[in-house]
Amino acid sequence: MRERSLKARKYRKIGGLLVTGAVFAAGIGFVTELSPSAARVADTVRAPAATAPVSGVSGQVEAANEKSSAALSAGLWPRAGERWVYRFERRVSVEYRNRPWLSLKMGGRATVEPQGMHGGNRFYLLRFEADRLELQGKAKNEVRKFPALRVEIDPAGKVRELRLALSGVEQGAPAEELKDTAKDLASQWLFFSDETRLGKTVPIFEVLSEKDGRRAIAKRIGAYPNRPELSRLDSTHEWVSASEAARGREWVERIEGAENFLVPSANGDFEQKTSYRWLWLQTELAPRLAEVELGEPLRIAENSEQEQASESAKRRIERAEFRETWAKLSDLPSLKRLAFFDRARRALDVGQGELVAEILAGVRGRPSTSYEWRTGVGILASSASPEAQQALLGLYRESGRRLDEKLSILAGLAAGEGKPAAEWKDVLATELKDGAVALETSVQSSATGDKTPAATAFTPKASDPAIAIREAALYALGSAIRKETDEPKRRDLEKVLWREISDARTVTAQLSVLEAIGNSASREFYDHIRTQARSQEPRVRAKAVSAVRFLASELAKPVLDSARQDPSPLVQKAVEWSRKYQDSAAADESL
Amino acid sequence: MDRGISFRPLILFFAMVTVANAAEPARFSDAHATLGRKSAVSYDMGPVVPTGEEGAAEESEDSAGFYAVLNAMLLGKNRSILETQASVTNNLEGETDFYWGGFRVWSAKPEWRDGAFRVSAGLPTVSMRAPIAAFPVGPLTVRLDVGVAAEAEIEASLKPLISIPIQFTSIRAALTPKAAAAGFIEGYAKFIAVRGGVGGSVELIRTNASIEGDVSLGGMPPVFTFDGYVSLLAGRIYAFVDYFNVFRWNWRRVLQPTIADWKGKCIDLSKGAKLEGGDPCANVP
Repeated sequence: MRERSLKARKYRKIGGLLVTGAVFAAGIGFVTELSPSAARVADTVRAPAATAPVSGVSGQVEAANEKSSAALSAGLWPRAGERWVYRFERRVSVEYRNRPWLSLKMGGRATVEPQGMHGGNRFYLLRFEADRLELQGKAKNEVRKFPALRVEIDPAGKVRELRLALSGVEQGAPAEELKDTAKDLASQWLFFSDETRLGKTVPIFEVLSEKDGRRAIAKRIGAYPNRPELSRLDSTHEWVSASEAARGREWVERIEGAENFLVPSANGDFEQKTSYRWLWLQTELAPRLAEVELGEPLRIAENSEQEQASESAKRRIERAEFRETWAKLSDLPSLKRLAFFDRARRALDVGQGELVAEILAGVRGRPSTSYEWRTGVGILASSASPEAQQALLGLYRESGRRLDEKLSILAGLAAGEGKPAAEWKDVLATELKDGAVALETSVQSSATGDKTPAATAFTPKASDPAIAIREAALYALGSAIRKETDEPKRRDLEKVLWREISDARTVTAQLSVLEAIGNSASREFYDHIRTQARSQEPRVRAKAVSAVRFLASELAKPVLDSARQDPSPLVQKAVEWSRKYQDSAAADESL
Repeated sequence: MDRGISFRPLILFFAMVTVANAAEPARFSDAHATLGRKSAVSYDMGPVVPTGEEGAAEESEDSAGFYAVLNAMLLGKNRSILETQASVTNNLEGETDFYWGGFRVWSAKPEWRDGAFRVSAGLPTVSMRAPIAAFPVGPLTVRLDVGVAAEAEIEASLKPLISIPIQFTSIRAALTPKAAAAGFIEGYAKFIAVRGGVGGSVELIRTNASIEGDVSLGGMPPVFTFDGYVSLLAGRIYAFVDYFNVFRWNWRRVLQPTIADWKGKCIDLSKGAKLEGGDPCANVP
């Protein structure tokens, strides 16, 4: 027994020497089995994360991206009944203001094994266990298990889904930190994926060598589009496989990489250096498929998309909570009400569509001056969700909608940040047409009737609702043009406004269309603005000057500069007013 | 409109003067520097006086009434929240204008009721997002998502006191914009073992202020008073930086500065005399 143990130790030492040599020789050689202790020796040969990975075997370089081999897109995976066992190490060091600020190391064991098939898709389990931790130079030997991850690979060899496997996790749902670490390690294994912990990217692969059953592939990441703050990114990685032709086996022998970057900051530069390495230890027999309870799907990347997704989960408002807050909306202090508004808008933006029905139920039957109506219409109008925009349109079209309610919805459409539903174009065109008829009738009756009220019996006639709606629809049309990003749709909306411009014969009508033009921030009407800025009527000139407030400064400036000479106090006031918006836009751009 | 002043003692003094003399528009404003940028709010109220300007068109008109303007700046990003005007033209037509978030939203003709034009308008709550800015928190640069949300309802009454000739006509007007605006800030960054963020909310303004008085269509100086309260800039903005503690397997907070913690200020425009219960600021939650 003792003799067998000594023999095993001897073999392990030989194995250790072999792997050390293998790493020193940059991956040359083929190692059958390694003990954890030998792997630990091997770990130490690599300098901390500051350096680039050890270069692979030199040889003919071939662009692996051009290869269609499934192995290059999916990597290699163990066969049925096999479990590949690895020793991993992860290092992170951070310098802040050129001084060491944080140093973390973690080493442990990782395994990869099949977990069955379904259709053409294959499933694999990744398990991790840390046994050596180091923080700021102090070491601690402690075993810590992470939740396993199930990887689904489609027939093309691409990663289809990553799911948390809950079995084997200590008590309850795994903490975010455990999940994060498991994802971090999995991202290293998923060498050929286009997503790393820092985000989506387009990696460049190169086959460094393909000889004697060994393949060495290098990966370089030039940039992360969603991480513009990263500078001096140095991200190089290497994947090495080995094979045994006689037994028809091929396995991943080593994966390692280094990723260093700098984030410049006014407080002092933040420089992070990271490295990782997986070394194959052995292939174990795994005759039975592991049964696991599956958890939520995961994304590897910690880019803004993923942060947003994780934030969106936090932003969700449960129906019960929504209803409870809604019921006391009018009693809430304004800050809390506005915070609720902001939260609900964000929840809609990230896809919590079921809130739309809650909002509609909450506003129907409420006066347009109530907090419920104003908050609900505001949420719908401010949301980027198409579902919310359709709901706003539906609310407007509901039969029996009163004038004040319609005006409020149109005000939401004009001031809200959401992109209006396409159907609004026809609705607004109809309102403008109906209003034009009413306006014409009103002008005719004014021309024939008593314009100046008698001093003793002053009773103005009630204003025509169609005219009020027409005005509000005109302003909403202007805003809709501004928010429409689809070129043909915007042109259609602009055509509607052009019709109104050509029909505007009275000063009042000209003032209204200039207001709509101002809301539109469209250079389409620039020539018209310039013409109107030379009008005989000071109010029209002033409104034309106001209409450049949202235009690009190179367009607005000539109008504002020439208006400075205008003798009218109204025009001077408009210059001052437009300049306020121009200054705000300039401040936004400078950030 | 820009004749206002910016600091608290002066604001209080100015508020007292405006209430006492009722001759000048009032501007209430406050500003603080935070996250290296200015957060500020300004609120103007005053009379719309006829310009006396002759227009070329027959339908040329002048008007008299009151206006209110609310602007907010959050982290250097200036946003117009509300501009409203309620007035009567020299053709004796009532008119109201609303600019909400910088956009013209409507100009409804006020309803004629009980001898006066009356408006009661509830504007839908609006949000204004500002472009994302970067802010350094300890070693990290956090991208900030900054937005302003605002709500307002406006009541106005405009009673023409008609005289012949029309130049002697004046308007007995009252404008009460009840408005609130709040700024929300969010930011988060994570780089494997280090994370940081910024968060918080600022109540930029809460007001239930009114302006009331007579404005002449014929060039007589306006006479008016203020009432109610204006509460400015209260809130808290905080930041944090964590690094990952592999021993305890959690995030260790290494930095948690409170970047701003403003109690805000409330300005009593009524001098405690008009509203039941005395000082309206005492009842402001």
